[in-house]
Amino acid sequence: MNTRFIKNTKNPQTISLIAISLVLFLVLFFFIGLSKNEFLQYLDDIAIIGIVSLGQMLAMIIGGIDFSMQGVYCASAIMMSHIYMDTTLSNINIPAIVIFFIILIAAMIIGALNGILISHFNINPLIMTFTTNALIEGILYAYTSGISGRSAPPVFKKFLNETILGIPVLLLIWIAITICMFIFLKKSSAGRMIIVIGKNKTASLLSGISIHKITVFSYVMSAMFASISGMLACANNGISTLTMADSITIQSLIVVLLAGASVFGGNGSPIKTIFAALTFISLEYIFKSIPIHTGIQDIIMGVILMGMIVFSGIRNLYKKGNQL
Amino acid sequence: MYINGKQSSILNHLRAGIRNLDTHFGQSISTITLLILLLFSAIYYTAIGSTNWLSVNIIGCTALILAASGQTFVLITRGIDLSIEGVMALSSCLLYIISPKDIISLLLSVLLIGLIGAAIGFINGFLTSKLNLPSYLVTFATLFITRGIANCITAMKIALNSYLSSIISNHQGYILSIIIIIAVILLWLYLKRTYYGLSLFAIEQNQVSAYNYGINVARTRILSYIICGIFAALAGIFISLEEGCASSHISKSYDFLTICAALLGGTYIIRGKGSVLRTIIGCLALQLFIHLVVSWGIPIYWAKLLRSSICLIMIVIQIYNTIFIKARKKRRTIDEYSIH
Repeated sequence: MNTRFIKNTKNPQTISLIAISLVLFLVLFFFIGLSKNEFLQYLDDIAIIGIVSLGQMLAMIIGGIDFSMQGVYCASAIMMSHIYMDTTLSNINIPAIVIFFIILIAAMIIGALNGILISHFNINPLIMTFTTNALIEGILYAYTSGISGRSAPPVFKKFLNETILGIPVLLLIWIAITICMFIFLKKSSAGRMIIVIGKNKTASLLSGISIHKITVFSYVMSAMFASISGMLACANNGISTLTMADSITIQSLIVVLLAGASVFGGNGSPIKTIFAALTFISLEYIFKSIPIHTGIQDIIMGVILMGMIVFSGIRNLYKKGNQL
Repeated sequence: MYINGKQSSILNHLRAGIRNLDTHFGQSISTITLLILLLFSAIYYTAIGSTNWLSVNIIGCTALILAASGQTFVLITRGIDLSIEGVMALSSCLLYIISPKDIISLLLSVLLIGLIGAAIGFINGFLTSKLNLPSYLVTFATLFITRGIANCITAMKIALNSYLSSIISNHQGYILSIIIIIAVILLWLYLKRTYYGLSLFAIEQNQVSAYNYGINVARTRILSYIICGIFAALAGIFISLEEGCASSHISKSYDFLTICAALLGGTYIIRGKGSVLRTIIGCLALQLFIHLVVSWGIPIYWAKLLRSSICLIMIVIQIYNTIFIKARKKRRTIDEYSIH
């Protein structure tokens, strides 16, 4: 290995994350073993959790959190399958792509509502997104009467089942979105503003940045990513259920924190999210292969999340030069 | 009405009341809602011939009162505790493991479970106040750990022993609930007058000023989380006794319910202001509302939607109040400048 690369890297966390993700991948591949279908599903799972995490990362960079992702993810999947089935049964031919964009716009409106109330009226992001999530869940349960399980549009299913040079389309979509996000955060002015606001809100306000606009924008993007991943997950699984997004919030939080995002905002990298998603899904598949109690899985998830949060807190104290 | 050239005091009071109605609307809405619901329930249940609706509702909301009171202590310090659901599930499962068979062993087990709740609260408080970590993230992690432990003990509903199941099911359950509610009120009234209570109110107003005045902000916040942990543990015990069983899913959606009750009780999420008394009124109003909805035969899915709508409405009212208060302050300042 090139030692100069290690010496020049400012953050040893990145190296350890890449190493851990590769080790887990090798363990999964050589010791546990996956069939071809399982391996393709494994790649799809990484892609879906990766897209959700990009949205959560944006909300966390700005110094907030998005708990409504679970609702938006689930609602997008269910609405896509329901609208498609209802329109097909009543002989109204709406193209699946139009349904996709209608749901995407609806999700963005929900994100805008979150952002406006959080930034303009200084409401705690947790309470606001928690309430939005409960509202969406309530609407979903009332709409479906608790019964779900309709199939996704076959066009999407067919599209996602295809491969380009042996690589699943879903994985390519995720990598393309991640690269776009990386360029957006590093090169565009809006992306830089998001990072600056997360680092210091007062300083960014004094330097003339429109905090409200950028905060609303990041929550809109967050809801958009949740919606996209929900619809892709629905198309990938072929079916939408009310419980499909039960642990999506904690999963996205763990991935974002594993990727080195700070809980205080202003820090986060889309490229690192790739390795974090790889690590997390590899761990999940390793747990699946061992007969382990769901309670212990919950404990492990909680301990990992707590460890990442405490690590982030200690790193922040160390940076500031404070003492415990 | 003018008497000797001056307005009568009743009219003055009325005018002042109407003027202040919108500013105090957020705080008084819980009382107004409760009174309307009480009146409506009394008429409705008398019409359908139900006699025990009040006792059923009081028993039904005791666990929520305990949990929401704990949440209020944390909300006042501008934090949030999402681990309530997990602590409640854990205490329910621990009660099943200990399985006391007489009053002394029951009290000892309550003490032990309360201490475990306090320890979890201490961990939450320590990490949020000493490391300055966001409370929602820390308590979210604790939620998964506690719920996981409870899940390992029992994921299914397991019946408690005959002694524990008979505590609430007989006629004493109603009295026990009232005793608990009165105890919570007395504890709040006592704590308000202690050093901790005064520190809590100082932090509620302005955290930085409180710190500059020499108040130990970290200790007050840790104490709030400890109280919340104890209250959540007690709520878990009560809900187990009420249902006569223990399960890791017994406290599902209690996190949202406690926030909803606190919001309905007028706890300000924008400025960090609240009172346990008003939260109790909020809990009673929420319980009456849910009971009415269920007894009307409305599907539980709609009840879920209505509950979250209440929460959103309360947030909107608080936003309106904040804007109104800001506008009034601005107007007052302009008036003062124009006078001098």
